[in-house]
Amino acid sequence: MNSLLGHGLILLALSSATIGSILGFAAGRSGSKQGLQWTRRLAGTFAISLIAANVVMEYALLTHDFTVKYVDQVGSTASPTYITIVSLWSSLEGSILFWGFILGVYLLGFLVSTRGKHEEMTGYTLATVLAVGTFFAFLIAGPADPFGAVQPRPDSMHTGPNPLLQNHWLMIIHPPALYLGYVGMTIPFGMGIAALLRGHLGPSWMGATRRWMLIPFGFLTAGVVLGGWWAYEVLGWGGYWAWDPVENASFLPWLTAAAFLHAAMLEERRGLLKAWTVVLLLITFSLTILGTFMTRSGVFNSVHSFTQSAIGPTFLVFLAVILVISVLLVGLRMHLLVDEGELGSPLSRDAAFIVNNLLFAGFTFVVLVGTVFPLLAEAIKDVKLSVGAPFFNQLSVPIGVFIVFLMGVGPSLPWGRATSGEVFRLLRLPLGISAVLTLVAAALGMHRFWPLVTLFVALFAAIVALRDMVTPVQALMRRRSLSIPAAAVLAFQRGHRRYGGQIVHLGVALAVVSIAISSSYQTIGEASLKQGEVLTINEYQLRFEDSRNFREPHRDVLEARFTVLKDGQEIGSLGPRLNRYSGQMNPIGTPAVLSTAKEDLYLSLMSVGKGGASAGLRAFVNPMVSWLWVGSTIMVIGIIIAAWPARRRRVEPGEAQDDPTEGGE
Amino acid sequence: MTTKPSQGAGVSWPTLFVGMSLVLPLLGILLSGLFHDPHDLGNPLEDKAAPRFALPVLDDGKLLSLEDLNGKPAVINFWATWCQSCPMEHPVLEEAAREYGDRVQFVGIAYEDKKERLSAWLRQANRGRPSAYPTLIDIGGKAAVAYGVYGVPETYFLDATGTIRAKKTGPFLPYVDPASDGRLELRRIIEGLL
Amino acid sequence: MRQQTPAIALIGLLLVPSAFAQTPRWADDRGEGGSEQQLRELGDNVIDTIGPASGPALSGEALAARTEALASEIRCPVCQGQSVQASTAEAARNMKSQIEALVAAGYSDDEVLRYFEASYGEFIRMMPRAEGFNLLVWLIPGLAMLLGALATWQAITRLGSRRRRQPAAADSTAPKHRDPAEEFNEEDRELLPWLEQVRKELEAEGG
Repeated sequence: MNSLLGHGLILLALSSATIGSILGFAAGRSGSKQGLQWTRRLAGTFAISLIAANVVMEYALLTHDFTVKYVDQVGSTASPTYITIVSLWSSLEGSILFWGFILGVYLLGFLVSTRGKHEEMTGYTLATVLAVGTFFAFLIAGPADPFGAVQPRPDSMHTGPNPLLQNHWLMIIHPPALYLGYVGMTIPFGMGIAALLRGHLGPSWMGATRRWMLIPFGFLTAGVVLGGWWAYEVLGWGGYWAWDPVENASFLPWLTAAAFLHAAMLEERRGLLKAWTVVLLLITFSLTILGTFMTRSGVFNSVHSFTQSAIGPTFLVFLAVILVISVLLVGLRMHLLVDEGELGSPLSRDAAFIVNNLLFAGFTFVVLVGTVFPLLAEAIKDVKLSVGAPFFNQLSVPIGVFIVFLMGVGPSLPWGRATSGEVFRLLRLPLGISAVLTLVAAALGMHRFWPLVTLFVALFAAIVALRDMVTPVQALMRRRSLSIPAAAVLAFQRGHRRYGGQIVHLGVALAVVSIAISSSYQTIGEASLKQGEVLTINEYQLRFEDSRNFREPHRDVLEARFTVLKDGQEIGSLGPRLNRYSGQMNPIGTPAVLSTAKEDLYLSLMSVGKGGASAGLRAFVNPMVSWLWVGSTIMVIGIIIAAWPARRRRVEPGEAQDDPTEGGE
Repeated sequence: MTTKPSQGAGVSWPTLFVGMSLVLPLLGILLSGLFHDPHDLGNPLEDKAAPRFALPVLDDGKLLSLEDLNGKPAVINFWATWCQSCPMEHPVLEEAAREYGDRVQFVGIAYEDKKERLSAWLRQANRGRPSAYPTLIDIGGKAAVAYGVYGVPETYFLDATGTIRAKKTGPFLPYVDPASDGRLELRRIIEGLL
Repeated sequence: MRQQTPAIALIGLLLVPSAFAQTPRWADDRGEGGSEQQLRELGDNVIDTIGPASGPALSGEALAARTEALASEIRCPVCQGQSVQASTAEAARNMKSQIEALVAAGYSDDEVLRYFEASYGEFIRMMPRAEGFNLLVWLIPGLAMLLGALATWQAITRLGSRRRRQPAAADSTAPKHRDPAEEFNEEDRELLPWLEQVRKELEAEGG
């Protein structure tokens, strides 16, 4: 019954997407209002049927209906309920279905927000999004069908979803956050294609596209950081980013989306580089498809290899179609996206935006080439080699430092024109303060080159951001004779987009400093301890007390307990673990972490001797890691603030007919 | 892309050229990737002299070295008791060892395993019979590094001159279907050594 | 470790003694580690593969530092993406001991890497050897950045020159786009002179 219902809904989705897409392109060309209305209805049908299909699947999972193929694959009566809910996206077929769910939600949001607006553009946009939807609906209907009706396997084979998913709660929210980021890029992609097809990119459409990119960008930021946090809390090697191909896959569209957001700001201000801005939209979406291909195809040697499948070739064909059509469309139509304004002098904010895009694009290229190079080497030289963290760190650190430096320079420069004298006056205070603080840090013991440079540029960027947040408040205070809080609130309300951006920059500065320090000043200690013995690392002493073994429904847990002393004073206890899941050869460890503002004390259990009499322990002191999570949270908060729809404002006469909810900037 | 001519010019050939020259090679590389297995790391020691080792035999602790195999082709199998497929491979190797024992020297090297567990396991697996070939203990994993072992089971095939001719990653499993039967595959490789 | 198909895994589980299927086990170091002294000895094939040591014997801080640096460049063969330095797997710890033995004996970084490459292949290096074809992994992005920088320079000068060619179209009168000095909501145009004044005052005070 569930299978039948599921199949029916997917077929409904597939047909409405196909017809809707064709109709949308036709309606876009002819300008038919009827055509647009029907396209919108079909888009809504597509969205709702995919959402409903997901509901059906969840129902099947929760009722343990093992006659449904996907439930038979990942379901288990032994799993706790929250694991059962989450197993919807634990394996390939379910995750593609979940992709459809999120696409449906975004599409509904888009339909609602474009009611009666932008009619010359939404036809083409919906047509494009529905074309992508057709591909995914086809996948769900055919190659990656989760709804097949099957003879259930014997119950002993129902071991539940992959153990790595069950190891930590972070793994529950990391995939949805990433998907909300990835899938959301489809809407701005459609909007970019619409601009090319229409041959026109106006300020209100640019503004709408920018907003529709900001939302998935926020989720993608969260998703990437959650992935890093998961690696830190779960994998036990004391780090959070390994430049694994699949990690890179999630990072690449983030970089181009960030580039787009800045290019869009320049475009909205000057009407320049329209074609390049649209190109960034197309590249970002293509990178999400490339990322999905990398994760699912089994072509890359990666941590995520448990999700390999035969769906690779299908995705590659889709990626090829997207890329080739994008290139052709841009090449043939970009001359219609006419530049309107003028660019400022080389020493202006305008130019800074362009350099920003150069750096982000360069960064993207570095990561892409490094990730793909092993394939190239194998194709041409028939040799297996690997490109790992040392390569990526070597190149990304200088580029990242440059970007952060620009983060301070750009907002300091005025739009349009600035003499070198003006620039010097604008920059000397932040540069001066950062230099002094950096020297202080060096005097306090920080001697390595790159951490010092990173600290310098990050402080510089942060001070610039703070200055930019304070200056309008000061101006309002003087003009309106307001108190500080009143002025602050007013400035915030009036320019929430700018404030959001500055808050994001603050978050970036904090995160970057944390990355630099935690990776350069990590301390590691290792010992095999008998009961009562102590391992000393930095100012901590770790005393092995005992170990215990207990069973949870889905795993066996072996925990070793350590008392933590700081300079001789007992401050707590930590219990790192080794978890053994049925069907896995090697245990999966869970580290135990004591986080303070200054550093993390991180314990990873390597082994436990016979009878629990001894334990092999690896201990890390990771300085400033908490600030990475704090900084990333600040970034996401900043993005939310920037994306928040502003209050309605009266439309000024002579202004282009804008989206009434567009306010602030 | 930012250097396009003013409006009305039509197709932008530079953009098409740049775009295609980025996109087509990328797609080509990804396509080629579909034909390779990223986890198959090949055999870097192919046609090279087998690395030397001298390891204690499980039963009596006496050292057995590479030189002791001289003159005969050899099959060196890295395995462990905790490896899920090794127990199924074991009877296949034992059988082949009994068949070719006089012409080919079989050696098992225990990877990350302990003497007691190995003895107990072998006793049970062989049902009391002595093993057809000796098992060596790889102390500190040095032989595994010397041979470039990425996981167990891995089997190396040496010819009479002590050169590595072939490597099998994964177990030789018995199947009914001759195309996938590990027993036939094992014999095929061994015959090639003789 | 090796990924086996579920069916084989299941058969394996059935055949194997129940000792490690269901009941809890102590997670132990699985192998025979050997004595401290044995760990310090070089493998039997080292001389054959890379010849005698080229440098002096090393110990203490210098030994630890070089071992760590090298271990960060060598992949753990049984892990996913981790270096021997980062991984806690037994195989990785064994390999790190061997790296230490080699460095202590006086082998150079290059010789140590070649030793592992001989048996594991180039894959065992986390960064490709910087020679020949492999240089492309640096050259391709480098070239792209260079071309991008050129395009950027062209964009800045070309697009900027439009302004210079039409000096009458000053920044403040672009009809479709915001006033360049405008930082906020247009309702606050009255605020602009004050903003400029504050800025000038701040600059006059020295930033």
